[in-house]
Amino acid sequence: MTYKDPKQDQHFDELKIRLGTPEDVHEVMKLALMVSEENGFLEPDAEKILHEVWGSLNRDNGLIGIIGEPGQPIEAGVMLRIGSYWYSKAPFLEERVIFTHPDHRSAKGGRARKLCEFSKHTADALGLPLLIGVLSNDRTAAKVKMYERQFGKAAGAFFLYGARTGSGEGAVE
Amino acid sequence: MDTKEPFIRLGMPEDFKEVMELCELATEENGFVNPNMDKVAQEIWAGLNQNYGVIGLVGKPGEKIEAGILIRVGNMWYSDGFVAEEKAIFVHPDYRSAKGLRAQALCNFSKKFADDLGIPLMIGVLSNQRTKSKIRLYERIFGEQAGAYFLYGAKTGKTNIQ
Repeated sequence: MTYKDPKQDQHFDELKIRLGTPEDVHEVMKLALMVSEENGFLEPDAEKILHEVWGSLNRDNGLIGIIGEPGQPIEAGVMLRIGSYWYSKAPFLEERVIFTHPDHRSAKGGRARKLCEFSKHTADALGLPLLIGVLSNDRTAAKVKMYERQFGKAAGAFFLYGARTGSGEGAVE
Repeated sequence: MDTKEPFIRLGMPEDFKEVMELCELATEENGFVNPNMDKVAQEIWAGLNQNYGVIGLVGKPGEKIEAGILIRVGNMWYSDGFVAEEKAIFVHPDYRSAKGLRAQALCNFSKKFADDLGIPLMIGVLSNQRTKSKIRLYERIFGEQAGAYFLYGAKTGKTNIQ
């Protein structure tokens, strides 16, 4: 399987999405912990997150697309992992998380949209199907609408029982 | 016409063959990647032995299974906290009805399972066929959806892409 670096594609020049490298680990971890606090429904485990992040920064069955200059705080990012579904051995690309730092949410540029486009481009480059989604009890409908503009009609829905995203405690509410 | 939810029994190792037959139908109808029945069998066997999971079934032991649910207990990628994850709910085509009582009973079974274990339940619909009506059924049972799935480069029920 060959991977075409999205940075080499002219289409992505204006998007300023770069591939995360191991040097980004500290900034990515800051963002990742913020994400899991804001969007998680179970208590985050930093070591487990680091394992996923480190693999992706080293392009070991995944990658991280980053908006933001190296060495600076990350404005937004997407982590994509290659895995297999429970009933299959066939690989597919799974979006673990798309996140825009709160300081950049109202800024112009459509960072989340660009990261969705980056995800589609990565799936195309790898020749793999992409499973991507929203799992959030906060502004769910608005987030789903943004994804619909990118991916068309939803292929399904998540339901949470006994938890809400953002609770981060794992406690049944 | 039935108006009562059917009884859900716990699947046992003796149900393996019938459950696998249902899984073949389910993966063919709902899969978005080619199924691997060895991998399916591992999940099913664990569920039937109540090893980090459970299988709820509609149908008498030794007879054709009308409907079933596989729930596994695991973690999310960012946490070591436990979550009950519904892997599949499937009603045999011969037993589908407009009221969806079997699916409803299996959803209620999953809620009780999560309540009994005191852990959250993550359950969902991942299907490009009759997606809206399936979501409506889940909304009646679980309330407002917490998110949505999108597939790019694949559709469920078309597992010849890989």
